[in-house]
Order: sequence, then structure tokens, then C-alpha cells
Amino acid sequence: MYARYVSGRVLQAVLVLWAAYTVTFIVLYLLPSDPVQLLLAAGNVDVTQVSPDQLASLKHQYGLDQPVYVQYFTQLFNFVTGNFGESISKNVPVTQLLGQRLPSTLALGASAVALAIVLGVGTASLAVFARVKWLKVALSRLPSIGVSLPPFFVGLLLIQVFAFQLRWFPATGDKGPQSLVLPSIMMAIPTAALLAQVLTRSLEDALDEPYVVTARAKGLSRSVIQWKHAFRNAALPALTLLGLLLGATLTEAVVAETVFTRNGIGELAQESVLAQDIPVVQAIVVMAAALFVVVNLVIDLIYPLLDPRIVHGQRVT
Amino acid sequence: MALDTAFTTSLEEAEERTFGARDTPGAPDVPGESAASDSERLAKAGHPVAARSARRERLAYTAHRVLRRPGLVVAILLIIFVIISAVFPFVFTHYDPYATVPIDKLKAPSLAHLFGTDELGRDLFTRVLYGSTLTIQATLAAVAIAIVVGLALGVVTGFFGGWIDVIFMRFVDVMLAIPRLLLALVIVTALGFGTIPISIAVAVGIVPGFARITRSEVLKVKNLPYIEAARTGGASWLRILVRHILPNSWGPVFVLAVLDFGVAILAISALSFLGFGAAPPAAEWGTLIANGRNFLITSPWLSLLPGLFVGLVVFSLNHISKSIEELQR
Amino acid sequence: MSATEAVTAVEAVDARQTPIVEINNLSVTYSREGRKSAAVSDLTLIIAAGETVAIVGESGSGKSTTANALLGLLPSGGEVSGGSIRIDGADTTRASEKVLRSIRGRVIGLVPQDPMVALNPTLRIGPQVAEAVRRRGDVPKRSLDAEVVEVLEAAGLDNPVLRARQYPHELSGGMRQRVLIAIALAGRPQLIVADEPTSALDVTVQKRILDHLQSLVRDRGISLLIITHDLGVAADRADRVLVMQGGRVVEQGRPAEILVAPAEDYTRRLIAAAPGLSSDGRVKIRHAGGSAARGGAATGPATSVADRAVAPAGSVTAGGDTATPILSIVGVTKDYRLPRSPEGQRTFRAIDAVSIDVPAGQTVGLVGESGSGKTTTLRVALGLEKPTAGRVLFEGVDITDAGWRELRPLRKRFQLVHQNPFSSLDPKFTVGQSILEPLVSFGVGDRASRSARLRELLDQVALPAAFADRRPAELSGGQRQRVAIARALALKPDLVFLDEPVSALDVSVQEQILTLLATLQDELGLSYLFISHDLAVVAQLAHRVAVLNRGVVVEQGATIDVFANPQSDYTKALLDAIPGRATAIAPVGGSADSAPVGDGADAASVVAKNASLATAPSANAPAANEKLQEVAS
Repeated sequence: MYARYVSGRVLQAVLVLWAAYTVTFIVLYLLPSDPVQLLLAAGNVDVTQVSPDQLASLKHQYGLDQPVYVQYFTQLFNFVTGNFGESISKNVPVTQLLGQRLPSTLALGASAVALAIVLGVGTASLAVFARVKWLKVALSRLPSIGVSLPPFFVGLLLIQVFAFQLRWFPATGDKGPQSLVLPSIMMAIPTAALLAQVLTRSLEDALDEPYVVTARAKGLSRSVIQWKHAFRNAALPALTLLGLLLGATLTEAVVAETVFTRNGIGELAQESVLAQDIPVVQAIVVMAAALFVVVNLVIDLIYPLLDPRIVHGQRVT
Repeated sequence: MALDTAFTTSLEEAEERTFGARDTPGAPDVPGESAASDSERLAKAGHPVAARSARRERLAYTAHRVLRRPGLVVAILLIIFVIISAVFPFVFTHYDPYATVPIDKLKAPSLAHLFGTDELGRDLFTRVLYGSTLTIQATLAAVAIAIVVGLALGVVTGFFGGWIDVIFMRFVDVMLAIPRLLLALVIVTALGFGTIPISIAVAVGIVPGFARITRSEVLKVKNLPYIEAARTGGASWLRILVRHILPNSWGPVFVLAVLDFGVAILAISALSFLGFGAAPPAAEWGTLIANGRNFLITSPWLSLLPGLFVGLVVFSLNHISKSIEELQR
Repeated sequence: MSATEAVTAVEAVDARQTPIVEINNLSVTYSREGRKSAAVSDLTLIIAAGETVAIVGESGSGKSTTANALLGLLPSGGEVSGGSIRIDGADTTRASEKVLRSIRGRVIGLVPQDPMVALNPTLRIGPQVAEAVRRRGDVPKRSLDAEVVEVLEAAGLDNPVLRARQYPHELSGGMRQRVLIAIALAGRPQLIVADEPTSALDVTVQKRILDHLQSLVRDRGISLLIITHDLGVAADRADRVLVMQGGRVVEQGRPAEILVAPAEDYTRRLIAAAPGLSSDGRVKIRHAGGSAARGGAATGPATSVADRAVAPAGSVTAGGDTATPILSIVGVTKDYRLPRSPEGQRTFRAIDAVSIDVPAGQTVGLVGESGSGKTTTLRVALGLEKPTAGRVLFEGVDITDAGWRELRPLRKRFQLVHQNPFSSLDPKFTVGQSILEPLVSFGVGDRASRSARLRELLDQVALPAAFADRRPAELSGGQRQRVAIARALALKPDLVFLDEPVSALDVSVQEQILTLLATLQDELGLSYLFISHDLAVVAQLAHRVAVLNRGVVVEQGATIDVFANPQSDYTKALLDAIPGRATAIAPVGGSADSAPVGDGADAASVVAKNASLATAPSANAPAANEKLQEVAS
């Protein structure tokens, strides 16, 4: 049973990844009236200065003179084999660019995610468990502030207070673990807030379930009921959300790295969009989709451990 | 069986019981002979009046419940203020958003300049108000696109089901696999910069979620007994869709639409913060915040006050959305 | 020991010990948004050791709130506003959570209402029971597993070792209920509170489980508090019955006293409304006709419902056998495709060669438990599903393969009343809009004629005309069902399908709706196909009954014949499980004058059946009888 479940999920993940690639291909290569113009603009070349011959050779160079389906499959093959082409504005292989920028973003992403989970789960659990009225109210209102504030505003506020006023952490750059603190907090806040909102609600729903009455009637303590009975059941919707949020870590990094001027994938994305550097943008998007797909695959595989009905249950639809 | 529930009684249920929304033995179900003749008299007295007064009563009750929530009232007022300032920004300020006054540059917030002035001496509050024109336009466009497309997709797939639905759901999975902001970046790369590309980019990101909620609401309502009852009563599918399904699935969809206004504002200001928005000197909220970064050490208000303003607007929208959801229950 | 000895033993214990529960003048209020409302007022209840007490009431009577208060599990917003609760001698009225915890499970065990949702879906059965066993405190870790298995076995679960390793969703409803009983027993409590212990289960399962629970508490000397809406269940099981209405106790006493000589009007209405509790111990049968061979038997069992509207049905049946039935279901089979499963079974046969005729102007009851295929039969007959085999004839015309368009004109002739009045009305529509919708859909009449028709329909279902502008949320369940009936009648149909039309309603309201349906049938000459899980309810309306079990019609015939002389074992089991019969029988032996016995042979057959069919534990029903006879004499 589990093997079939796993293979089904893996197949689905591959399909989603392929489709994500296709969508970006369509948007980036078929939507603009003339990709060559975008390419030229990205290389800081004035289109009017280019002769038709040069244009033709450029098209040939990027394979744009070939039929669309040939372009599509050639590129798909290249992507599968790890060849993401060459950056137009920087004239280096995209793979090399990504390789340089990845470690910084990974470090930032990992610390932000860890912080977000701790903050989110902590806030939600306390909000549900707290019996002091004002604390409960405060904790359950906190997340809605977290999701409303623009992340870049939070980042600038953090810089203003902790870098300029208190001088605890560096305001910019990506040297050393200290530089990770402020951008991690900035990235973690919206994620943690969303997570806390969903988890608080599903915990409260779970505590209203009849099986909790059964558990209370056994004479179990509040903490046993909350952690052993309610949390497992409440974890599912939160886990689904967590998958979506983790998959979006790379995106969050775009803004965070711009605010804190860190040389990561996110900043690369921002530069490349500004320069309309299509190959780099496409590579980053496909990478983000891959990250998303992998994270959610892992979460799909965790599900049955939390809710036995997912694998054991008969398929009825 | 909708009989007396167990120990699990939520407060609502408990109340429903005590106030006798169901058949309480204390209030016998049958009006009885005398009641029936009473009602005849009532009917002759003219029930259109009764209908109108009932409607007015419901309206008054809703108004009463809204007014009981001061937070909600403040949030609604703020949103009304932003909408008016987006259409008539000059109502709330006498400064010109583009007039540079070098003498007054980088002034801290005061009564004369509520949000202070920027590096060229322009009144920041005025620039925020005029910026709301752009931002609110972009938001409205984005949400309108999302609602039209998302609603259509959701209703069609939810209502007809079958292979259309299967294909659509796969498509939504894919769209969700590309994080919203990144998808927006791809679209901005393809379409170029400016307010309109940004709105389209943000709208595309909102559509899948919107369509999904619509679909699930339509599906939920579609399978309720009263739809089957209408069907056995001979109603056509079109009638069922227009008269029964749409009015009843609208609630949660509306809540999400309000929420998505906030999401769109955040996304649009993020994109303009990253430099993909309108060209200067026009400035969206995000652009204002980005410009202020350069003066963060000396004049933090340049970034922080517009940022706080955006936060307040989004928070108000979220609060309104949440309150509507609670009031609908 | 014999049953009589058991009873005397209990009574001896009774006199000796302090009561387990002593509730004095208890009042509970719920407050919300500043408004307060009383859920329970001035309730006094004492439960002695070994005693079984039942609280009977309809929705809103405060019976569940009482149980909640007892366990200290009032929902938020609810509070004890007066009186006191003493448990095992200690005052727990406003006790701390810690004190209450020490009582729950150890002194009072709970068997919650709906077994399908009362177990944690993410934990195996074993750990869930172990939590309760561990609360005893004296169970060494080594023997924990053994204790869990033992208590599961005691609750009547087969293969307890396997069950302990399974998840709740792998168990049937009845098995889950037994697990919940095991959990309640695990802490060795002195009192078990059973809140609507079986109303979510099929009647036959319900009877077996209640029998088992009762024998368990008797053997262990545990007190039992049953919370139920069903006076029949209460009367069968309890030593003492409290009838609650609107938060107050309106009457209490031994079941026999209450049933034979109810002091309160409300109790009398409940007794009259309880399907299984007619005073002579038999199920009320409205249309006793159709049993031509039995002659005199026809008039005997006519009871309250029939008294009000004397049915002309008998004559219809007698002459109507040769006429074309309004609806014929002929050999209908319906298979459903199953998703691929390891067992290799590809299809599931929901109904198998079902044949039912509905004669014009009559009611045919289709009875079956969940999964019997009664809903599938209904959907096929309505043209909502196409059968795999067989035909559906409407007045002799084959409509089996008719498409939506071809069927549409016929839709005016047959209509449906749904099971759940809470979801069968569009919440956004006013009552008037809902009722008139079929007219609008079919383009019948103009504004003026429609509003005249609306008034007429509201009058027919005995609703005030002013209700036309109300919305469903402003109506009670019974009122909503009246609206649904009016809607079904709007097009003046000849045949109305009734899909469990009263199962979501309180018993006293059920009675009113059934009476309304009967009156409408008489006035308008309607035919009904009445689907229900409850044989006793069907008896109040049906001329003929078809019993469906696992997709097959196991018995079919005139209602009186099926009840008096059931042929299939399944029907017998169904009849036997109707609550209230054990109690109601008592007067037959004890005080003959309490009820007019119309047909001696019938009564005798019923008594004989009870004796022969009583399921395990066998001592149960006779024991109750003897006890009651003692009381009665």
C-alpha cells in the first residue's frame, strides 16, 4: 500500500515539475512579441543598431530560428541534463552563477525556515494553551499583524533598530552568521504568522472534536490532550501550509536579499528580471519549482505517519 | 440524526438549543387552529409590509453587529479614506506631489508635513496619497482580473466536473508549485515594467487559489439536498446555477476576495519595491519605501512611515475579511 | 443467580450506601454576547449505587447539559448558576479542573454519543484504551497490554488483540461503540453516563450493545445514567426515568408508573408519539386494512393517529389490487463500480432484483438499515440513477431510460420530500420562494395565481401565511419539513417520495408531521413511497411494507401482516429491536385493564416472540419483565 502511495506521489511530483517548466517556457519565449529584442536589451545593445544579418545570427545562436517545438525539447533536454544555458547580461554559464549564489541563500533559507517553525508552532500552541485571558487574546491577534506588514518594511525596521540604533547586527552583507540574523527574522515573520494562524485554528477545531471529549472524560490532563490528541490531528492542515510556505522560501529570499544586499539567488533573480535576462530567470524559476516539488513530496510522505487514514483508507473517489 | 448532541456541544449549538431554534418541546411545533386563523388575518393585513420590515430588521441587526465591533468600524473608515484618496488625492492635501522644495528637504514629520519631506523637499504624505492612486488602480485591476477569471474557472469546473475539472485541478497544482512572487517575476520579465504588467503578474498569481475556493464552494453547494430538491422540482441547470449555487457559494468567495485585496497590495508594493513598477517621478507605495532606503540612517521616516501605512491598510483589509467571515456564520 | 435475586440485591445495596450522585436544585445558564439563557433549571437527581436512571427529553430539554455539568465538561459560556452537585459524597459544583479530572474516568465514565467521531482517528485503539486503564494508577506497566485486551474483551469485542492494533476507521460503528464502552469501563468507575449511546447506530446493533452494556453494569454493580431522546429505550432499560422539558424535570418515577399513569401532559404526548410504546405493547399500525383474511384484526390496533383521521384506505386496497399501480419497480438491480481494490471485486451490488408496487392512493413503506439499498432504490425510482437491470414504470409507462427532457413533464406528477429539512431548503430563499419554485420552474400560472396557490399550500401544511416571507433559519425543524412538503405538493403531484421525512425531528414533532402526511393523503388522494430505517415509524403511515436487507427485499406485504406475522428472520430481528416493547408488554400480564387488548392472538404472538428472540444476554428481557410486574402488581 505505502509503496504504491509513494510511487504515485513521486510520479505526480515529476509531472508538476515538467508542467512548471512548460509554463515558464510559454511565458518567457512565446509571450513576448520578440524574445531577441529582450535578449538584446538585456545585453545593453540598442536594437536599432543591429543589422538584419546580425539579428539572424543572434537568433541562430540562441536557437530562436528553429521551430518552437524544437526549441522546447532542446531546452527541456538541456535542463534535464543540468545545462541551463548562458546568462545574457553577465555572459557566464547560468549553472556557474547559481553555484556561486546558492550557499548564501541556502544558509538564509534554512535559518529562516527553522525560526519560522519555532515561532509559528510556539505562538499557536501557547495561544491555544494559555488560560490567562489577555495573553490568549494577544497571542491569537499577533499573527494577523505579522501577515499584514510588508516584509520589506519589517526588514527596514529591523535594520533601523538593530543595526543603526542598537548596532547588534550588521545592516547589510552576507559575511558570517551574524549577518543571517536580521534577514532570517524578516523572512520568518510572515511565514510564522501564517503558520500560527492556520495552526491555532486547526488546534481549536481539533479541541472541539468529540474525541477530545472522550479523552477529557478519561480524566487526562490538558497538556496530554493538547499534545497527544489535538496536535496530531491539527498538524495536517498546518503541514500542508508549511509545504507551500517552504516551497516559497526562494521567493521570500528575493526581497530579503534585496533589502539586506546579500549576494544570493534572490538578488540574482531581482537583477536578472531588471535586466530581463531570460535564461537566468527561467533557471531560477525551475529551480524554485523543483524545491517546491521536493518539499511537498517529503510532506506527502510524512502525511500517512500522522493520519493513518490516508494510506489505509479505501479509495472511493 | 440531528437530535440532541453530545458533550461536544459548541456554544452555538448550546445556544440554538436553549433559544429553541429547533423544535423545543416548550414551543410546540404546530401553530394549531387558532394560530392558522390568526395568520390568515395577518396575511390579509398585507404581508408585503411585513416582508419589507423584516428585511429592514435584518439590515438593522447587521448594522448593529458591525457597530458592536469598534475595530471593524475603524478598519472600514481607513479603507474608505484610502479609496477616496485614490480617486481624489487632492481632497486631503494642498501640496503638489511633484513640486520640489529644496529648502524643505528631509524634514522630520510635523503638523505641516505629517509624514515629513523627502530628499527633494516633496511632502511625503502627499506622495503617499497620490501613490495610492497608482497602487489602488493596480490592485483593483489585479483583483478584478483574478475575480473574473477565477470565478469563471471555479464555477465551470465545479459545476460541470468531469475531465474539465481534472485538467483544471492539475493546472492549479502546477500554478501553485511556482511561488506567486516568482511567477510574477517571470511575467514581468516577459511583459516589461509598469503598473499594468504588475497587475497582470499579481492577478495570475491570485487566480489559482481563487478558482480553487470557488470550485470547492460550488461543489459543496451543488451536492446539498436543496439543489436536488430544486432539480426534482423541475428547475433547469441554469436556474439552479444562477438562483441557488451562486448566491450560496458567494460568501466564502467574497471573504477571500477582500483578503486578496490585501495580498495584492503587498505583492504590488513588493514588485514596485524591487523596481519593476511605474517610472519616476510617479511613485507607488513600494517605490516610495525603496527610495527612502538610501536615507534610512538619517531620515528613517522616509521608508518606515509609508511602510507602516501599507501595513495598516493591509491589516484593515484582513480584519474586514475576517469579520465578514465571522458575521456570516 | 436468578433475575429476581439480582433485583433484590441491587435494592439492598441501594439502601445501604450513600448515593454516587446527588444533584440538588441545579441550574445551568449559557451566556453569549451578554445574553443569558437557562439550559437547566432547578434539577434534582440522586443516583444510588447500582441504579440505572434515564433522562428522557427532546432537543433543548437540557438533558445533555445535565450530563455535561455532572462531568464538569460544560461548553465554554456555560456555567452552573445555582444548586450543587455532589459526587461520591464530595461537593464538585465549582471544583477545580484538578478535582474534576480525578473524578472523570475513575468515578464517572462516559460513553459518548456518536461512536463514529468519538475516537481519535490518528491513534490506534490500544493506546486510547490504555490511557483510560492507566488512570487507575495501580496497573503495572508490564500488565498494561493484558489489561487493555481484557477490557476490550469485556466490552464484547471479538479478537481484542487485533482490535487494539487497529485504527478507529478500520472498525464498524458498533465495534467503535464497544471500544468506547471499554474506555468507560477501563477506569473502573462507579457510574457510567451513556449519552444517546446508540442513536447513531442501526436498531439491531443498538439493541445488542445496550443489552451488553446493561449486563456489564449489573454484573459490576455500576450505576448507569442513560441520556436519551427515546422514551422506549429509557423505559426498557432504566429503574427510574426522568422526563425533562425546557430545562426542567416534568416527571419522574419507575418506567411502569410513568408509562401506565403519566401525570403530565407532556409525558403523555411523548408516550403517544413514541413509535414503539403503544399501550398494549404493540407497534401502532395506522392502516390495519389489507389483511382481508384476518377480518376482525383490522380494527383492533388502530391508535391515536388513526383515531383522528379514519382512513378510507382499507377499502382502497381491497378494490385496488387489480388497478395499475402508480409506480412499479420491477426487478431493479443497481451495480456500482468499485475503485480497484486488492480483493479484486470490481462492482458492488447495491440492490438486487428489487420489485415494489405502489398502488394509487396508498403508502408503501420501504424499510432497511443503513447500507440496505433503500436510498439507491429511491434514486432509481426518481430517475436520478439509471438501474443496471430492471424497469421502472410510472402508471404503466416505462420511464427507465427516459432522459431528463422526457422525464420533465412527468416530474410534475411525482415529487420528493427529503430526509433533512435543515439542508433541503435553500437558506437564501424565503419560504414562499422555496414553495413556489417548482411552479416557476415549470412556468405554471402567473403572479396572482401563484400567490393564491402559496396561501393554499401554506394552509394545507398548517403554517401561517405570514411565514411566506421568512427564511429557513427562522423556522424550526418541523416547520421546515412542512415547507418542504408544501413545495413537493406545489405541482399537485400524484406520487410523493418520502425519504426518511421525520428521522431528523424530535419524536413529538415526528408525530405531527406523520399526522399531516396522513391527512394530506386522505384529502388529496396522494400515493407515498415512504423510505425509513424505522419500522415503527413506517407502521404509522404505510398500507404495505417492504423490508430491504443488503439490497434484497426479504419481506413484503400488508403492514398488519408483516408486523403480526413476520416471515423472515431479519424482519423479526428488526421488530424485536424496537425500543419500548419490553416495558409496554408488562401490563398484559400485570394489569389487564390498563389497555384495551383488541386481538388476543396478536398480543400472544408478540409475547412469544419476545421470549424466543431475546438475544444475549438472555436473562435481560425477562428480568426486566419480572421486575416491572412486581412494580405493577
